Amino acid sequence: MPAPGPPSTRCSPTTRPQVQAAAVGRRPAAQNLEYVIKKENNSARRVRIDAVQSVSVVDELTVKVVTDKPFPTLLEGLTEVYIVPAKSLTPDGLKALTENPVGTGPYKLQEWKREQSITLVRNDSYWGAKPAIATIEIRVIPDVTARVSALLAGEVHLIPDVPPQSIDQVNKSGTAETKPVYGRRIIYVGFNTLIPGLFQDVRARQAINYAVDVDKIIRTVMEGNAKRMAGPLPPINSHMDPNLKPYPVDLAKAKALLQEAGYKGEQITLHTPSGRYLKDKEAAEAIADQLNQAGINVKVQVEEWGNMLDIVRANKIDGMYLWGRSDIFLEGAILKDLVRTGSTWVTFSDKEIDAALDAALPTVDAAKRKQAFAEAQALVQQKASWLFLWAQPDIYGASKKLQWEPRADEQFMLNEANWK
Amino acid sequence: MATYLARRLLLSLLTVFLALSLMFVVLHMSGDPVLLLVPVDATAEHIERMRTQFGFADPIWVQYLRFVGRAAMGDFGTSLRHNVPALSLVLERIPATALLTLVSIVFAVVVGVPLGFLAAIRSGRLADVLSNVGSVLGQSIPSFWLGLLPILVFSVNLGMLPTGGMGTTQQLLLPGLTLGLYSLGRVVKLTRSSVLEVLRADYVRTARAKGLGEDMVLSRHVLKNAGIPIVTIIGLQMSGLLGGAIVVETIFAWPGLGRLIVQSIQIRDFPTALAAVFFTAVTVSAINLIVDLIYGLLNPRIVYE
Repeated sequence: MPAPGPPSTRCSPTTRPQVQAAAVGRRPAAQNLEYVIKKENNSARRVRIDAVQSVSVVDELTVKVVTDKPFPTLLEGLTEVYIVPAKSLTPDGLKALTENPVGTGPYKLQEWKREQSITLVRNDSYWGAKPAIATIEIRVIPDVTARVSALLAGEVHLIPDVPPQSIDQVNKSGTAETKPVYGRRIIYVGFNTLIPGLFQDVRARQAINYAVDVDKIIRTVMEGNAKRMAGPLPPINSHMDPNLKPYPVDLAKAKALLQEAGYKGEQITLHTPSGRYLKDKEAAEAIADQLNQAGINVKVQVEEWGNMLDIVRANKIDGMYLWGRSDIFLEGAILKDLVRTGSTWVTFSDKEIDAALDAALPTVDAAKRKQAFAEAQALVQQKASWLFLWAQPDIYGASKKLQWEPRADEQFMLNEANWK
Repeated sequence: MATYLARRLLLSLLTVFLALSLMFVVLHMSGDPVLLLVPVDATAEHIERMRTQFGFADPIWVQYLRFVGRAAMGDFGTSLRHNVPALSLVLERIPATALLTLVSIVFAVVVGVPLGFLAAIRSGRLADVLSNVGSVLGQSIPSFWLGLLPILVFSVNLGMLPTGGMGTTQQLLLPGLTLGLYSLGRVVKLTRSSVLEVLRADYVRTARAKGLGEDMVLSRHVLKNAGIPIVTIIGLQMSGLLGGAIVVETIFAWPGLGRLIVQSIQIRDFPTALAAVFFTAVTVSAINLIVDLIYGLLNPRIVYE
């Protein structure tokens, strides 16, 4: 139980005095934080700093932030609040800003052709290191094969999400190469335990974990482009417990557990999107296939993405569903979004896990925090909140002329790139 | 004629109204639009506030009446995603779609009608067989394959043409031809069968018996009479193309109406989808009217009242 204590960390992030907005030569004011933090402004960013109780502006460069409980991820949360000119902090102002964005970054917007291209040019009044690349054109090419073709033809220098079947083609081309990085995306199969059904029984969920040969699916369907996850956190996460061992394949145990849970051979549906995640439908089909061969009656149902969002969020989805998430923070706190009762996309509820998370989250001491999250992860795995699958890599295709390394957080940081 | 036009206009208005209403109902049945606009970690509270902000919290019949009232004034609302007037988004795409449509239709007609004609007068011979095979292929080969193959050959391997986008004539070539090939197939086939039918007609036999040269027979009698089905198919193709050629636009990154419509439905941008349906319904009605009027020109016996 978190001990009640004196009002917590008073932390004052100050704004840089030499930062200048590209279009307006004014210093971004601390009023921005104030705006986001105020509930009535309904900022989508507020959820990242939701423990903040009050903000007061000390002077133009200093803000005092008070949280209602110890909030170790405050600084990370604040990095997700983007600063805009103070005079734009009205509904009309923000709308005008979406037409003519103003920023303080290394590039500024030169041209924007909706759904076609965005052209950025170097910002000469940038306060930091000047980027080597002077102009960036972000081009929209919706078809994946056309994107790869554009890369191979030398028309574009960088593309995200090279499909596995094109990896060889790109690497053999001589003009480009693939650069994979394990980022924030994780794939798993969720169970809906909030409606009456088989999966409310932990044994049924564990059985599914014992029955599916995840390593085989990674080899065959994902062609090796995935990293097995033993628990709810991916390898990239700083608080993932590397000592957690994944469920071994044990068909006999799976069948026994299912029998104990009262499974009588009724049909289970595995919902999946198609094309939303890399090889999502194929993976679902492979999983269902393995389960059917183990004597568990599973049928795959492909859902339109918008519809799937609706039924998952409303906790109405029946059976199992293939799902993906992006790890927002490189830290155990993401567990709150992933498995805690009441989180928007969680169709799972377990009081023990909730208690473990509630204890872990406010812990400020780094070592104790790590330990607390390790325990929470082990508990989540044991309670089989999901069929744990894998972390998905981001496979970028880059021109051989470009000197650039991909990042785990999907940020391109082209201001740090250069030509060879 | 005036009463005919007035009647047609009224019917067109009704068509557009019905199309919009149907689309409205179907869109709203497809689910919650706000969910796709918010970040994954948005709170339920935030989502509810956004729904109210956009007017989705009101009962459906209120939303419908609000929509009809505004649409009658030409106001289709603001795009949920792009934050600009929905109708202006649609109108922005028209030049791109019109250009692609024009190129495809011109190609299909300029190449297709003579080819179909040739196939008909040389019926049963090599030219006919070849054109038959060609037109079946043109209609059966899926457009995404037909589009991707030239990209691989001309752009990646030969480096002669760009892979996509819009702006230069070179960029227009591949998408225009890909789209045109499908229309070509239909035009050839229909021209051929239409001309064949006319060639068998009594008045053609009479004209030949009168001693009229074959050229005169073909140009004065055959072409005009065979024209009606051909004009119909061209009109139909145009209607279809002006609604946007989604596959070709996706492959060649062509900023046309087809992509806009599909995208706006996928992300549940209701105002844009409805504005696009409005535009398409108006266009199709207009083209149908023009085609019907052209019949009157081709065949003086057709009279509208």
